[in-house]
Amino acid sequence: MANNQELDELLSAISNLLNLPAAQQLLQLNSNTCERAYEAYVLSLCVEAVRRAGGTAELKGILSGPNPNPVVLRGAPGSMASRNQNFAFASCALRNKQFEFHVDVEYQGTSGAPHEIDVSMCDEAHAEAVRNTNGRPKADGNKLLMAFECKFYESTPGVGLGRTFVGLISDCGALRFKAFVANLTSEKLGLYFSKSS
Amino acid sequence: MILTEDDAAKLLHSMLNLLQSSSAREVLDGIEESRRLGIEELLPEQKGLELKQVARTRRRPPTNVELVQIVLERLHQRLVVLPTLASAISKRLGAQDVLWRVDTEFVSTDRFPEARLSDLSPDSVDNLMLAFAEIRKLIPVQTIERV
Repeated sequence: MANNQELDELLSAISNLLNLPAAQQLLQLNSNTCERAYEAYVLSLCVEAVRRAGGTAELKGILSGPNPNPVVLRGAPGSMASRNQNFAFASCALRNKQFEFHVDVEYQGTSGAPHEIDVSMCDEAHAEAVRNTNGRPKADGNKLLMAFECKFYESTPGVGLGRTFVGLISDCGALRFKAFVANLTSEKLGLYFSKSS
Repeated sequence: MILTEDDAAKLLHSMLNLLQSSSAREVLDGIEESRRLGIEELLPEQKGLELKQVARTRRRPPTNVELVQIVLERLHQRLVVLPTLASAISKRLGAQDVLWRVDTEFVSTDRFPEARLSDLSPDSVDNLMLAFAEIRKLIPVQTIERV
């Protein structure tokens, strides 16, 4: 049991923390910004993984080409071919494979229905065809290679998004890799995925 | 420091008031959602035929002590994890700054306001992390989800 002095010290420490200007700024962030930041973090992990495996990864802007400054990422799901902003993607090569990582791009599933994929790995030739035709990428064959659902939870994780993810990947053909990536662990989600995978 | 339910109730009252006065609306929403989802726990060991017919888990409301842990976890994600993510993104992508913009043909900027990476790494963020670590020394992390 805490005595009154200990409790007062704790309350004072929490008050000091929450009144710091940096804390005020972070506490007022829009949750959509937190979600987008988490996706960018997963993109950066993918880029790092390619480099560690001996490959190359370079950011490109759809309008400006290599090394865009600033780097512009999608703040909401959209078209891979959109030129309304200088949206960036990671152009990668590993051994004799060329591919790209994209954030928040819409794909057409095997059923024909559109799906938003938080972080995706797409075959480079297919991505170029999409940009050249202003079309939509497909999630079948060897076009969409990996799909990551990213979630920055602000509350206890439930299984709802896990169910959505299982439905999404069932419409994506033969993915080489798929993952549900989150900032918090959840035994409930673990149990659900162990059953559905 | 070991908190009783009464201690935790006082602490919760103060923390939620501070968050309200900080206009941390979405953090408060997340805490409320966690309260609504409750705590999953295993049923105690019992014998009997009926127990074989039901699931071994149930949901109950969080205690005050558990809610304090939930609030501290939400604060940890906002105040410690987000700036750490921002630093990792900047380092790995080699980008001075990252902007999040929408395709305005389809999406309103009212709903998805433009944001930048520097929003997640404010000045003196190191002091913030130290201050949070001090609080965590006083109230260590407890795992509360039991399923």
